Amino acid sequence: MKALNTFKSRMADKGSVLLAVLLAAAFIALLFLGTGHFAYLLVQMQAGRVHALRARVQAENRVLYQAGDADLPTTAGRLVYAAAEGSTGKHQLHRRLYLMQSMSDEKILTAALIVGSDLEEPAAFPIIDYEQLFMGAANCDAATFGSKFLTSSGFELTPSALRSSRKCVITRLPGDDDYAVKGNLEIQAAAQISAGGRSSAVVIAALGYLEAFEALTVSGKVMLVAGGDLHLKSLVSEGEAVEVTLVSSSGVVVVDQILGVLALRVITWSGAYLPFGYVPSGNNLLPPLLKREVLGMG
Amino acid sequence: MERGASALEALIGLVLAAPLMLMVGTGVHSALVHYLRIRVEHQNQYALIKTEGLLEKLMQGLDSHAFTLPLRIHKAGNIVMTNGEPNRVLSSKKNPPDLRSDAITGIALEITASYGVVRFEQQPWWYVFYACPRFDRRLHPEEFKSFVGISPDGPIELRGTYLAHPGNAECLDFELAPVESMSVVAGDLLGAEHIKDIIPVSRHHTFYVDQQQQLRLLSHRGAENVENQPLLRGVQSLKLSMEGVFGGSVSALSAEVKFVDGRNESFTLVHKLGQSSYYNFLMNRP
Repeated sequence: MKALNTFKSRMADKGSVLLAVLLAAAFIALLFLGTGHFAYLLVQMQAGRVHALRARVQAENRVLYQAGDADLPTTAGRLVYAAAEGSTGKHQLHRRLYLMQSMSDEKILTAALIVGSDLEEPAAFPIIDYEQLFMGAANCDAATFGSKFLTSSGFELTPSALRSSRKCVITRLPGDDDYAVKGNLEIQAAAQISAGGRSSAVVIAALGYLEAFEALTVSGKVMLVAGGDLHLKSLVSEGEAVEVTLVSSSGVVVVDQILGVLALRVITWSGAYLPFGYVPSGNNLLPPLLKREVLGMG
Repeated sequence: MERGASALEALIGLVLAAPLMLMVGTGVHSALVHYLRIRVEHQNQYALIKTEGLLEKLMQGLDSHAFTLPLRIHKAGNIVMTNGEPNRVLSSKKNPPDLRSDAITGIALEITASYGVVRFEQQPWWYVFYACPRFDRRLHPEEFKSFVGISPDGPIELRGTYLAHPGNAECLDFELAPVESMSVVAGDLLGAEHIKDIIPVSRHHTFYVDQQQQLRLLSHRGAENVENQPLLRGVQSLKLSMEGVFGGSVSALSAEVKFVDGRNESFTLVHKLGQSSYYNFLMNRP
């Protein structure tokens, strides 16, 4: 009887041991499963990250390539966009590249007088590459205005035209070199612009208004560009049919007097006021133009 | 006799079970070590992906416009405004930045919601700009409270509100005041009266690591911090640097993320659009 009890007891111990081994095995299996699951999540996260990055880059590259195509949807005026979609597997990506597109046709660009506010479609006013014109422009000193926006000569500026808080005052121009300023420009004495041996035009440019108080004598190709109003008291041509282009991006072009023969082209946003009876005859001088200008990506 | 047999049985059992126990022990140890390592790796990967995503969002902000408004890196947590004044978070008792970590600020603009200024009135310390949309997007009431104004003198950050202009559903009256900025270098703030374009600011954030090793999002409206929230635990520090690529008009942001376990991961982000001056945007109208 005692031997039987001992046998039963030993069998029960073996059962416990077996149970313990099974439990340990299950625990280890769970640990391995947990480890495996984490490893799987890790790989999945890394793969997801790479995939999402690729999808985003592809969508962005697609919109950049599409921007080179001819016909893009127009939202308003000259604003166009290239759109592309992508998927990361979980999320849809929508990217748009916004651009300002030139709507000017050949007829507008060849005109001797282009006035933006007179155009049937204002977006047809040419897009000019001012970035190029103002590359390396000089800085100016602070300027103050009274209650009315008047220049030092008393010329009243167009309220909607660009003006700067800075002003460069000069009495002579630097020979046949281009000259651009980050501000308003007042040429307070009679000055001469000579293209010398240059085949390209001499460019004088101001971010704000540009005003010449006295006679401005030009010989060779000359381009005067103002962000705001452009006011010349007297424009004197030295030579036969000197080519001159006057540009105002947001204001008016006012020339009180023209002496000599000029092939004058005027590009202005708000209007041109030339000596009575003077009709611009045009030339080939156009400021650098852009077909499209990138605004941003959304 | 029986006791001796039992001892022998136990000894033999122990000898037989020892390799098994050793295997089980090694297995448990190995599984635990791997489990802990993978868990840390998982946390690090999550922190890395989230940090990369947040910095990528800053880079997208850089692509939201083509102006030269670069990301600003604040070395050693010295978060300052563009005029050099310290940001208020530096004197915060609750969540000051960890001075071992860099911070970064970026601004995003809603360029298609730009408004062109038709006229303005100067008030004692603010301006009322009457402006109309340049493109197709119209602003909803109270949609934005922070703006960037563009004048020939450069960009300037503005803060304020807007209301529908009486008798013109398209145009708005913006009541705005120039403010110091975390991103816009406004110089001496001379040009506010010459502003020609008003562009809403859609995001203006700084990411920094606080002294509890939390990556935080600080939102700005001018010099004021309007939001400071924790985003992520597990980042000990960020080392950031930017350099111009492709001739300098495009920037590459290099980031080294140090995790709380002392390990590092690095990545580089490059944005898509070249940056230029504001001249073409300002002067090519409408």
